[in-house]
Amino acid sequence: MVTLITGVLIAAVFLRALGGFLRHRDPVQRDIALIFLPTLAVYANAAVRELTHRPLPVAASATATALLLIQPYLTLRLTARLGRVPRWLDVGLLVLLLGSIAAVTAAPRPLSTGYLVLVTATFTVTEAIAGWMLLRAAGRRSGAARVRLRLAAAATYVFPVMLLLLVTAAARYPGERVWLQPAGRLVGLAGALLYLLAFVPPGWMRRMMSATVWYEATEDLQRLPADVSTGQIWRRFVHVVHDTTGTDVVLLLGEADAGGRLERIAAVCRSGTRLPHAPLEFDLAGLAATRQPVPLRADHPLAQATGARLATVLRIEGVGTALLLDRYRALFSIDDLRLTGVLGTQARVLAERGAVLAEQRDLAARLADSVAALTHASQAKSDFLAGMSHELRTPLNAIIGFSDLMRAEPAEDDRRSVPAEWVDHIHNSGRHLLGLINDILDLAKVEAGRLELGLESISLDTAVGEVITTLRPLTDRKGLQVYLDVPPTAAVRADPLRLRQILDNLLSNAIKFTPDGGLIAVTVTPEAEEVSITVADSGIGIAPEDQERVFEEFQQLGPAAQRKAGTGLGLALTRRLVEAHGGTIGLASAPGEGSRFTVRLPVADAPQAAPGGEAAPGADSSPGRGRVLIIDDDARAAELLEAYLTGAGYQVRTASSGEAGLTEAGAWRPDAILLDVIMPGLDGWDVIRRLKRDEALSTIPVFFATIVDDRRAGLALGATDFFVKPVDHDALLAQLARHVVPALSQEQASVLVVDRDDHTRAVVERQLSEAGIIVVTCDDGPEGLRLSRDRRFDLIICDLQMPDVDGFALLSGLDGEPSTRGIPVLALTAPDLSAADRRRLTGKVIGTVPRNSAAADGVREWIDLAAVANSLTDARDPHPDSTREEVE
Amino acid sequence: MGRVLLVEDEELNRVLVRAIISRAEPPAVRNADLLEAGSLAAARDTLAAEAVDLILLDVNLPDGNGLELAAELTEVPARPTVIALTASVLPHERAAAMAAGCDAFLDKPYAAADLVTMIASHLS
Repeated sequence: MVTLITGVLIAAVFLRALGGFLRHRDPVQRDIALIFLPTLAVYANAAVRELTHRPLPVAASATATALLLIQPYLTLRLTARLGRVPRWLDVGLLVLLLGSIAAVTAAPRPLSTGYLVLVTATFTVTEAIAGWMLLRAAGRRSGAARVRLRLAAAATYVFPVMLLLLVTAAARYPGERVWLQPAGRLVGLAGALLYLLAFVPPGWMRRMMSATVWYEATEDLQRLPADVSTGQIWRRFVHVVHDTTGTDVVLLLGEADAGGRLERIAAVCRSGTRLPHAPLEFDLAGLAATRQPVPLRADHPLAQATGARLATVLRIEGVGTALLLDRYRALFSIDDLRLTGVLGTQARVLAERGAVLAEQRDLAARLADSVAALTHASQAKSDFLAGMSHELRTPLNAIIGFSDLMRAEPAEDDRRSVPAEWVDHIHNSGRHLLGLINDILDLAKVEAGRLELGLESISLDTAVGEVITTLRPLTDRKGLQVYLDVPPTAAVRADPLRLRQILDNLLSNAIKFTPDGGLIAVTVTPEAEEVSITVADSGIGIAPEDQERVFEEFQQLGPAAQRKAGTGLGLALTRRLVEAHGGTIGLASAPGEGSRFTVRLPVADAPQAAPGGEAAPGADSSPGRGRVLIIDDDARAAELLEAYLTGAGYQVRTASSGEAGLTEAGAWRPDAILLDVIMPGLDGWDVIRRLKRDEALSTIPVFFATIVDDRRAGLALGATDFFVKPVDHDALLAQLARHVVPALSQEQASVLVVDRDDHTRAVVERQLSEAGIIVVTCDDGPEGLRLSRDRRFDLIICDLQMPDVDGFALLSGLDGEPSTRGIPVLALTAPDLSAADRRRLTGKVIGTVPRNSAAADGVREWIDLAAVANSLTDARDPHPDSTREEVE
Repeated sequence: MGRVLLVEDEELNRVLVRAIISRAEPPAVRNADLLEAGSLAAARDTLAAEAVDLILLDVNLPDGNGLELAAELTEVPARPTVIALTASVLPHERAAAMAAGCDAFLDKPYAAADLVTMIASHLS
């Protein structure tokens, strides 16, 4: 009965293994089936013998015995798949076994004791070695796989015991029934049971065997701190898998990108194997996720990269693929794969949690940063307000205090006699207050990003010269030497007013902090992309620890006498202005050794030539270009402009006050007036109002050239254009060329009339012809443009509202062609010309005439009044053509 | 005859205080001896050499904070009255002046009459 049960158990293991081999072609399953085949044969023989109560044929018995004797070697072959078995051992045991089989087969029956000892010893030794191999494999594994390998090892050890018992019974008590036989059968049953449990364990037992290791592995993962990174979680995961499954290489790969490149998330390997290096370009599709180890061909990139021969692919949802690579096969790897899958899921949950936590931490950090930034900004704002309050109160104190005192002086009628210096104090404090407010407004503009920069190409020679001129009284008073090293071609791209402010602040500071008789040097060095402007002084210098503070608001340093002259905003504003231009400002200084401020501003695209460079020889005697009156109280500024304009061929006179300018304009009748705004007595605004009120002078084009940046007010008062000092000379010349009608010879004067209306054309033509002027007419814009290019006209009268190409297009067409640029244009406009159109015309035409029924009269009237008329009837230039070339 | 020390770095403000005091109506103020110091160091020198009844103290001085002087004076037995004349009028600035031991404050800009009244009340 025992034999029968044992036989059934062994048959179960055999059939299971055979089934596994047939289903999956798994060589391990085949080996297992082979191991149990001899045992099954032996038990089948025994079962048949018991059932039939007759001895079996010798052949069957001998075959079973031979098979049984080969069984340990088959076990050894199986374990050789799990780990390395030395070749000499393998071959030696095989020879030994085959020898004993041959001996036993050939030996006479019943077998003598010597034969039995030989067979049993060979069997036992081989089984012992196989069992030891299984135990060694168990040592590398964990969980169910380890338990099952140990059971298998135990069963392997038990079989020789069974054999020993049975053989002993046969040898010592032949033909007798002794306790040794049932004992041997029971031991055989135990071995079969152990094998069954090892190879075909019931589900509940498998779960029980796995429970501990699952728990431990899970706990291992969970022990990671909460703020662990995703990378650390996956690193822990591969280590846990590596430790619990005994896999040689565990490789966790992310999803392949578009180029099929795999990202390595984490990896671990055992000594004797290697980790693959990037790029990871494995074809995972070839390694289908069968949950079975797939043999790798020796030339497979994975095999070459790692030294492994078997690969198991496991998908981990939401992460990618786990690759388990081995050099040797593993028994019972299904349990490991199941564990790996479960751990992968848990690690993913952890990683997702970690990602959420990391995002929260990141969010919290960013929140803290912005709170800190806001706090800082709020603090800066408070500091600024405190500083501003303090600085505003200081001059106000003098204003209120002294005016208070004035009110307390005894009144005589409606007058009070007060010390004159009090009035000066109040006035000076008021000016100081104004400067402060202007600086604050400028700072606020920069801060709010509302600083509008009208970038122009500005010659630094001119700009520095003008600022030095205005500061001359201060330098003279202190007896300072001013040294200038400014290359005439150096030019920056900057807003004229702001550049002036920058230079003024730096130079004012230098003057303020340099003792009497000291030295100030301005050095300009053009570089590839920038121009550096250095303002150095031999003043008191600034200590290193204060050098950053000087650029902060309301940080005045140094003795009170020098502090009070400034607003405490100058350098702060200067830095902002320089930065708004895309430039930088730096400071080098040491106490007692002076200071050196260096501003770097973007270089102008095309550096312009120095004013003097273009002066034509004998320019003064050339009357050709026209007459320009400069009204400016600043002699040096006027001188600069004069030099430039005479150089360009204009006749120039200067007037040093508004009153003198008006007188000169009336007497000389210039073709254009350059006007400063800030002048003692009549200022520029007054002068232009009077000019425009005077019928005889109202048509003279007036150009402002001033440090006051109020273009809108200037144009509103009737100015033709508005230039902020330092004046862009090229732009000024271009405007003058457009608006100052060159003196013409009467015989050669020619006018082009472009108008859609036949009547207007006829009337204008008749009237101009009568004055001896050559008149060419046409009725549309394109024709007008063509004519104007064929021949040089002295004046073009053009209709603004033509079909096809209107007046504006004609104007830009004229402007776009060098040969026609600068020809004066008189526009015939709609009676209700819009403000927008009027602005578009500003600076582009020399005048407008409403185009109504009386248009022809209007033109005549205009010509009568205008400087054009004067020029046309007042021919002075015998060679107009040669003059005109200079215009271009 | 009261002695007043004006600690103020700005010349214009010294001129103003001088003018206000010399034209003040109360004789005690009009006839007060006015000493002037343009810095903390100068003020310390003056105080070491002369006894004064009243100090008109500017807070922002080139060589330090005027409140330092006020704090030093609290340890002097027969200390003069200290009136802070300052354009730093924000609450925390005011609190700092109070903590330093100033007896009174006059915010810049101040009315001439207020300065006179304050000096008069502390000199009498």
